[in-house]
Amino acid sequence: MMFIRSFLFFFGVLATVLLGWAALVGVPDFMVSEIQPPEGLQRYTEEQLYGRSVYIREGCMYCHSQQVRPEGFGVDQERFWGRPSVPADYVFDKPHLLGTMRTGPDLMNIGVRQSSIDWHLVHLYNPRIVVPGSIMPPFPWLFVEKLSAGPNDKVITLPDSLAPEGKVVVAGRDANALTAYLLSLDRSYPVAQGKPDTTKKK
Amino acid sequence: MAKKKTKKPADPHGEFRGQRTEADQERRIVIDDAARTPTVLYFGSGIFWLLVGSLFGIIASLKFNLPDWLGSSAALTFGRIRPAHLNTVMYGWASLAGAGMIVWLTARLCRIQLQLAWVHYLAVILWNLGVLAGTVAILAGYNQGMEWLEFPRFAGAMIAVGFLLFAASIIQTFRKRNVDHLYVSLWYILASMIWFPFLYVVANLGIYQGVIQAAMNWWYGHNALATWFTPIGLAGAYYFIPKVIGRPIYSYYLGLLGFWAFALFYNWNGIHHLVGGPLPTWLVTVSIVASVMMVVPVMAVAVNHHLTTVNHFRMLKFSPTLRFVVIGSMCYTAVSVQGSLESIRSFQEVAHFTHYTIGHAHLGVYAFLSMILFGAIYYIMPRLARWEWPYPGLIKAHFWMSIAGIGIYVIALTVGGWFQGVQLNDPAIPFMDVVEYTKVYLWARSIGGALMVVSHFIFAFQFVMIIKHAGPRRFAPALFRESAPMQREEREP
Amino acid sequence: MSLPFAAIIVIIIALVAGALALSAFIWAIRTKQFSIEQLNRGALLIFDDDEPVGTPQDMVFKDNSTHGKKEDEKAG
Repeated sequence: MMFIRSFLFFFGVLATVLLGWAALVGVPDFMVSEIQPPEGLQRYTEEQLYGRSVYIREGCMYCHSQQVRPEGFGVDQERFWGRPSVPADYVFDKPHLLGTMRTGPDLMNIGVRQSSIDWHLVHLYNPRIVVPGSIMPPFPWLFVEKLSAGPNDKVITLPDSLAPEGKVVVAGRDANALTAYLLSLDRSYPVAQGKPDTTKKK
Repeated sequence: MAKKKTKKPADPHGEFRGQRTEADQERRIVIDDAARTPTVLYFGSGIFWLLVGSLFGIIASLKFNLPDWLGSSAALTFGRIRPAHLNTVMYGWASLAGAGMIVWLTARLCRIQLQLAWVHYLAVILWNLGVLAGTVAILAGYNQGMEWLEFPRFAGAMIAVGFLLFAASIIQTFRKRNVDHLYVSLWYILASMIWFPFLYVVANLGIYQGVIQAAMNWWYGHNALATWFTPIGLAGAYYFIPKVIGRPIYSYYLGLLGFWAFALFYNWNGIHHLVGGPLPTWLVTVSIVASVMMVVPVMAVAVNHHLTTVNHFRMLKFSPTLRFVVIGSMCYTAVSVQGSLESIRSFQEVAHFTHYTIGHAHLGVYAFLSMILFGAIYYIMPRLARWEWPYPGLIKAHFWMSIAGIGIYVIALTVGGWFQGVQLNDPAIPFMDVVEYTKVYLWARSIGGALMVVSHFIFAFQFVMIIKHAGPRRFAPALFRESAPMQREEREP
Repeated sequence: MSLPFAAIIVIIIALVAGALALSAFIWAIRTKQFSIEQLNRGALLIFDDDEPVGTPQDMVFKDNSTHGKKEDEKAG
């Protein structure tokens, strides 16, 4: 009797977790795997991929989301964050960077909203230079201090209080790559919208 | 339903097969002794990570208030400190302290000495090395890129192997048990031995990408709570509340129903982290339904614990364990009901992406789980160290600072986060204005966090002191009946 | 909201499994495989002769001794 009870317990417990996995991961995987990359979506270039790894390394996803909510659910469109995101937008994303916080704004279409390389570089060096009151961390280690800029270097213009004496600050490989990645965040191409995820009536 | 009254004297020997030792006290001491070293190793290393993780937490919090503080240090940037905090407190503190509690509790509830005890030495080393390696990796910039799964694979593998070794001993102890019934705490413990390895291995396989990986990420994240962390807390609460009060659980049968409802529903909650996200609507709805259904097992637990404790609340004055565990159990109800509400779409529309979520998370892993772990350690350690807590005043200090800290923390982020969400949903309010609005609440959070950090150092200090047998020798009958202490002194190593 | 076929299957399996489990449990109680009383006795497992029901543990903050045999405090 004890053996039967133990078996039932073991089997029941295993079944509950397997069912949960099947419903939340297995079945959706089966469905979504049929999605083709949309025409407007390019694969990431090598530099963009490297920049994406810098994004992950520095933990940007802990403050920034990359998922635009459906119309009528929040005000993402009114904030000009883009059209609602669909699964197809993420086919090349590994790991996904959907994020769970908006301490900072959503970045799914930041490449459209802010396409100035110089702005991004200065912003990454110290966000408060271009956005007063920002609480985003500074990332000076993505940059290099040099006595003089080389031919391919992007020099960033800093306010006097932050500029080092007698040196210039140029974007390092990481800063350039990260900026390239951010500029690639553009999901404005049209897609066939699936049913948006909201049953909330306006 | 037949509700047993406790007038009849307990006669466990009539119920349960097993050795009749000279006295139950003798048997209990033998069992405790066999579990002592593994348990203390788990507790000690868990407390170490509590201190490290708490420091990471307060640094992360202060970074919101003073973003340029230590701003040129890459290892201390928020984006690395935050995952370092999460992983050390969850896989370090909560998991290791939980493992210690489980080791001691399993031996007690199976009424047999811990089996395969030697594996725990290996497990403790591997597990701690895994957490250490993973944490150093994160600070150095290696991050797998998913919340709760940041540790590089090799660190995760060490933790997984450590867990499997630990589980082997628990299951073997269960197989050699000296009891005919399994106490409710053991159901949760044994279930987690089956659930969590499956979860952890699948999540770390790396076979998913895109939105499905997001679904898997949050199936894992919420199920880590469902299949490992919450069972630890419930196993503790179901034991310590009736044990300290001296009364059995109000309705054991309700506990049984509660367990299976828990097992069935909790596993399906994960996608409530992605409401409004780029996933099929039905998938999100399924998780919302399951999240709301959680009210059933949660209420079963709440009713059980409340009706066990009612008329005995005075005892919270005298027992540190009861204080911590009852508060923890109440917060389990609170955070779960909050979670059920929070999963509903109209609620999520406001609260998602805000600090509200962080408040909810800490109400769960701190005010529920960590409080119960504190209570468990306060109960178990004197029985293993065979010594009283040397400074009861420090227990009170730990308790009040901890409560005050988490209280300020949760209220600040809940209120601030909610209105942050309301404002974010008003397009007329510029984004930076919303950020400005949250700053005062983020300061309050740092204050709450600082109180918690200090309380942990107090706790850790006294943990070391009881192991060293410090403090005035007391014959207080908190633990030992007056006849016992002399025998115990003779046997002390 | 459309529900794909596979999801319907999984949900049905879960519900059927749950219903089966519940019926099995009720059947077991009805045919006396075990009784509610037997179940409830499990709650007593944490007590024994040395730490019996009615004995509070862990009275750390109390100054005067609580002898094991004393019933715990009056209602309130």
